[in-house]
Amino acid sequence: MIDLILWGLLISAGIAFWRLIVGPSVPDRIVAAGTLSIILTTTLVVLSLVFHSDLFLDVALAFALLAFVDVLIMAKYFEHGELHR
Amino acid sequence: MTGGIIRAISYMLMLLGVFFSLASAIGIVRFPDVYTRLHAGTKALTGGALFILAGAALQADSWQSAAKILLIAGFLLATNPVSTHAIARACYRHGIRPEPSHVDHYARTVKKGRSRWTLP
Repeated sequence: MIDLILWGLLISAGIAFWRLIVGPSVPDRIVAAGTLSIILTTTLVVLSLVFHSDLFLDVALAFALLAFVDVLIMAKYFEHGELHR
Repeated sequence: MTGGIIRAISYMLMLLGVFFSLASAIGIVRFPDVYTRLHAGTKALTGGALFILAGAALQADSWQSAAKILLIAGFLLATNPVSTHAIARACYRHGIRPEPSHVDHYARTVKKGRSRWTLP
């Protein structure tokens, strides 16, 4: 059962990764990167259920934080062309 | 008996979340515009991730793990709309307009050059 959930998450991550590669403009790629980060966070939580380990939860928390700051900085850089405003 | 019922509820929640995340990924590929892609990638994906995390919290080994999973869920619920708002604002100020737009109040605010923290 949990294999089915992992396969569904993997397929949706693959589709979003296709948009990340192909995407015609820069904000499309930023949207795809945010989507991929959320899908990978949920995948880490499901993997902590599979392996009965709490380590994956810590990694998922840090990854969610880093992905949030990452998307914010990418959007700000796309808006201004520089970072210090 | 009770464990079986809780496990079944958890798997149903997780399957619902996987359905939402698949729908969000298909929407990201199929929608024509940046703003519609943002719409697909934020709302459906936040709902799907929350369903999956709720199912995982029901199935966790200890209550510490469940609390940590709920912490991740609250963090996603707080930060995903913020990042989407930042992307949409950056797209608008960069010059990308939603294509069939009839009413555009935000353009007056941008043109007047008001402070970015005041509401229109």
